[in-house]
Amino acid sequence: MAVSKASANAITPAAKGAIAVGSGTNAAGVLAAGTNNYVLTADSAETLGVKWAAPAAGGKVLQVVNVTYGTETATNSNTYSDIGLSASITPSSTSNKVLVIVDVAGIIKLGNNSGQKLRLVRGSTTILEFSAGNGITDNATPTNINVAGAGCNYLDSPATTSSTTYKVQQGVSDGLNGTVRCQHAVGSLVSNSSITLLEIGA
Amino acid sequence: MATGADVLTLLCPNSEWTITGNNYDSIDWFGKSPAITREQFETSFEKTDAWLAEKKANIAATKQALLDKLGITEEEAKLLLS
Repeated sequence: MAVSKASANAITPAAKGAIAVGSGTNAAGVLAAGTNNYVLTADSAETLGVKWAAPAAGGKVLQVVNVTYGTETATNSNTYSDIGLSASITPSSTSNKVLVIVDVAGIIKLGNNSGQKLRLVRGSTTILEFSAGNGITDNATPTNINVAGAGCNYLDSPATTSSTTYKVQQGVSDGLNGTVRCQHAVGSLVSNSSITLLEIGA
Repeated sequence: MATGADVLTLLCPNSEWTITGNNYDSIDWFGKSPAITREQFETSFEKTDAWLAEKKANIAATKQALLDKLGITEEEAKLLLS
């Protein structure tokens, strides 16, 4: 859209931030200053063909939450229980997504017939089992098997603007026994697990 | 040094539990009555240390007996498994 020199010159800016915009052949108008951080956006429905609008958030990281946890948790039950690693985030829009990055450290199983299962939970809903059965530790000898860690990446669509909590739970694999642990510490050597939540604009 | 999980492993092999750190209050008995008291828990770390040391010694002795039976050294056994 072209604005003739004559029409653009005929416009006197009325306020700080106002801009001259062509509105038709040899015609122009003034677009008042927009809201801070808004960007100029084409819109044929507007009289001037443009408007100020919030920048599209698609694909952008809007906020990051990171939590580390280093206290050993253990269980000998096949029932899932919290390993103490959790983080909460409040999405700014129901259409935004949350990328969950989990790293569980200091995994150990004790017992000749033991194995560990892990899962990622949103609130009380399981959204991902990232180790089941004997995926991390097997049921063979030796008695103790130390594993550096396990983790997962999961792109969640919580569809809410309420505070949402993600956490990790462990249990002894179904059909097996023994005990399993996370964040296992040996003396002064501490194992820290971490969870990171990234809100991604839709 | 024994942890709370070690103590429960020794004292409560037939109960279901989960624990955080060495904190008795964090123990979840999955709806059942506590299998041990706080006092039993808190006074059993030394005993558990001894139990773990004994287990470790037994494993080492079993391993050495097997090596002797095979007539090979630990390094040779590692080489065979590599």
